[in-house]
Amino acid sequence: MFKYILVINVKSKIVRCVFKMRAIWKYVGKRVLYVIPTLIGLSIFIFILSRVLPGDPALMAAGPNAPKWVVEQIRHQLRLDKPLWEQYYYWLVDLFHGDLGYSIYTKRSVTVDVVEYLPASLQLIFLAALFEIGGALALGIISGRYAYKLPDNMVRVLAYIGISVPSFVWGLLFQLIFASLIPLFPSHGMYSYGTISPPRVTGFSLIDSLIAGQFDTFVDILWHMVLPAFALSLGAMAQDARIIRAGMVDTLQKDHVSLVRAYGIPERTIFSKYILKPSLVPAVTVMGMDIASLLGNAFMVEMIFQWPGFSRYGINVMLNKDINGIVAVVLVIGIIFAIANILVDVVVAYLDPRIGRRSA
Amino acid sequence: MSRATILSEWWKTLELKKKWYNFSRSPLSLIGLIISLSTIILAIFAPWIAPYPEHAGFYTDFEHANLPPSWQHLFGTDEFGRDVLSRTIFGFRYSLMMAAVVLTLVVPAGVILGLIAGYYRERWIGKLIMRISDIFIAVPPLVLALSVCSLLTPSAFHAMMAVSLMWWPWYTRLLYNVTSSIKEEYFVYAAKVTGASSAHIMFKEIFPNAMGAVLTKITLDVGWVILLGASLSFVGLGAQPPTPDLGTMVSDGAKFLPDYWWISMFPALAISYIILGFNLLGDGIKDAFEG
Amino acid sequence: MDKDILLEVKNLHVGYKTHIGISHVLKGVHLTVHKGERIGVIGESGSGKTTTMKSILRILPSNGMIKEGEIFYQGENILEMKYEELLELRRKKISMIFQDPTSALNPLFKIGQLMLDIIKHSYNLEESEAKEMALKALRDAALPDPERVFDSYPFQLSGGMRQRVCIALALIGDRELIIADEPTTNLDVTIKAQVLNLLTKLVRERNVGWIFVSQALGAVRENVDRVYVMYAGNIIEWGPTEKVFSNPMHPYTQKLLECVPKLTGTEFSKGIRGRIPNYFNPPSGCRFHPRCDFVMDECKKTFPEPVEVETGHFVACNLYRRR
Repeated sequence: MFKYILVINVKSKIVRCVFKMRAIWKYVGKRVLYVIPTLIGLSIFIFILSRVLPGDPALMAAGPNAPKWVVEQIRHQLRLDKPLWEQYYYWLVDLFHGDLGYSIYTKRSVTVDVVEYLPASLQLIFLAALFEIGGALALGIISGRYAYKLPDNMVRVLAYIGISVPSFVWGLLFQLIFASLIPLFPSHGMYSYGTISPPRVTGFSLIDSLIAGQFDTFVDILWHMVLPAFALSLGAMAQDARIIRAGMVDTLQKDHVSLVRAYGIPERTIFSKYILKPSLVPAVTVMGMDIASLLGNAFMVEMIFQWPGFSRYGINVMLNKDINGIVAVVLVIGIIFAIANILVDVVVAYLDPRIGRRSA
Repeated sequence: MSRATILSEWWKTLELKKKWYNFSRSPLSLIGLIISLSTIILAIFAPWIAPYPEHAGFYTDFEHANLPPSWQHLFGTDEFGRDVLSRTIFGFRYSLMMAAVVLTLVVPAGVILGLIAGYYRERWIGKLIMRISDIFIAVPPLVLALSVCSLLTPSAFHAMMAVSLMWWPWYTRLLYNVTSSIKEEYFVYAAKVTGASSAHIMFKEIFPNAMGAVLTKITLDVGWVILLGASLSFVGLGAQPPTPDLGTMVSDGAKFLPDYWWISMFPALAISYIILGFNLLGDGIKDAFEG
Repeated sequence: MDKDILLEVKNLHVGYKTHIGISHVLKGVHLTVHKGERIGVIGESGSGKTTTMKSILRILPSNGMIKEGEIFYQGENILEMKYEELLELRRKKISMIFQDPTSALNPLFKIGQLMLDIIKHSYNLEESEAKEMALKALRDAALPDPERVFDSYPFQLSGGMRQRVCIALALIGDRELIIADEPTTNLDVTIKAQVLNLLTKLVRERNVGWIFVSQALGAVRENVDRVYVMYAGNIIEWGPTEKVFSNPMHPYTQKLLECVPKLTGTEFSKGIRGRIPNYFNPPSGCRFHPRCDFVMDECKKTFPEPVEVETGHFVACNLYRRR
């Protein structure tokens, strides 16, 4: 902190800005260094579990009637005939070459699967996150603004329902109501029948359709995403609305709000500036983690809406006991989770001047 | 000091009377209590309450398959002609058992590990425990639980084990935080100076301070564990048919949407009901302890 | 009506709604400040001093409600003011210094951002003029390197500096009344005297009305013209400072003044038995009666009418009504 004050004395704004960026980067670096051992530990855990638990993956991949030499060949291919530590070592070496191993479910490299399916999931989660943030902000702010009054009580009950009803129940309900009874939205898949999928450039079909200039396809994909994204977002939305509300109620009692009020700042400014920002800081952390957690709930929602994404791929490799696939799914989600974690910390450090600089 | 007196002392620190007063003031908490109690009663007395208890397991009656809700079958019947209401009532058993087994496994383990990690925060043992707990919260619990379940053979028991494996770190972290902050307090020093053993300090001096937080977390967790269990069986990696597990019933019935909506929708609502009950109850208890 | 009167609080009743019920904190508080007059308000913590001060600016928390009473500022009732008038009052006439400078400054905004926001809303000024005004205020509050303070977040300043910032805020423009709500209570002992000296110096120089709420009785005695003694939401004794301090009449005032440790004394005061009452179900009549050594039957029934015991020195106690 003293260091910071010294730097602040240098009257150039640029220097200060660079310092702030450097402090944040240093912070990010620290976080990355911390998370790497965790991810290695995670990979060791799931890797070992996948090799030692009962059930012969080679036999499963070959099928029940396959001759013995075929099973042996697959076993060799998966390196299951080697000692455990050697298997892990080679897996790690392959990983650094971008190879996650051979999938006995899709009969090709897991890396190819990840590249193929991940964008669809991220795209869905992105829309769900938009719903989540928008809904949580709206509900939370209304609730906090009218704390202990009717709107607050209504939001409170809604939030309880949102938290308690599992995402797969929302998914089925929406499918039943908005796709079957009132056919407003398509019930499953990514494209309507007869729609030509855009040529693959980024893997994100929304972006690809825009690149290809297929605006109809873009709308069609978006149309298919509404129900699953909404079903996915509701739980987190309810959770975050509650946290934003709690933050606001907490901030309302603070003396610093009394102070700006005492000095004649109009209510609207007080609310939008001096109450909202401090209330959102604690919510950002939870919101970020909730968005990352959507990856978990996406497993059920992608299954219900037959969304061709990474989570549905995850379920398929799990049901087929595809060991390389399972390890890859866990690891990829772990990495995404870690990135989300660090991003959230950066956003919070940006919003709250106390964080990051104190440690710097 | 005997175990019984330790327990009664822990009990006293909770000041339950005052807390009940706080709790009973909120209508939502009371609703939560009623819902939770109702599911517990239904689960315990399922064989006597369910109209067709034999429908819980293997049972086929294709003549009465896929009947819509009626007075005979309030929730209709499924594709094997089994009464959905009866199976739903039995389903509460599996959901509650899931929560009970997971929490009885997880809480003591997590608490002890957390106490050790917090108490020996500077030593390698504390750091190791926390690092290992980091691994298990590096991915959403559902993803890791699903993977572990799939690597084991899917079954209700394995689902419980997998969820337990994902859940202990939260208690460890809770106790770690409490312990690290209390460790420097004077009463802990005082105990140390008088020559109390580390175990005594951990369980008699530090743990009582975390009791309220742990109990609150347990009640809040019941809903989450049930949700996680239902999700596992919904995906097909938990309890297997014909177990009347609510998640399994929803996913089996989902094939018959939208025509035979009752097969999946009633169990789905039942899951929401039980989770809602325990969420309300947990929040009520939390408010009672904090307010 | 006295033209010199700047602020007059009459019969103020304030309560707080909570989930356990209504807490009746203020029960008929009154207070008068003349132009340029410095008055002190003393009493235990929890006696309703802060509530009174916040009522004057109508900045009570959202669960606080003013049930009865009038607050006149130069003849105008603050409680009946329109919002625009109220803003004008807060911006130009009355300012307030809060008890804890740490919680009174929003941690997420730089001092400069806050000051500019306040100045710009109060006076239609250009950015540069507003900044000049803010820096001048900081300089007046004896802050070294005002430029740096202006560009700092509250957490980068010491407690004493934060309170100086609050004092600077209170002195922007030509205020007519400054309310200082226990401005030094939450500061380190070593800083207390500095901040208090600064504040009293500035108040004297500018000849503004001053309400000094404090538990530091010595500081109050030295720096104010008249003093009000508050107990459990009532003003129980008031008058010129020297008269009240040298000749305290109310049993509570007597006990309160005894509590001040004297340098020459060898014994510690015994304190006052009991504690501030529960406001959800306060004692009837005189709220001090459960703790009073001279309690009489009538104390439990009605709150005593104030009696003027010497010129300008009033006391609300049944002991003196007989005379």
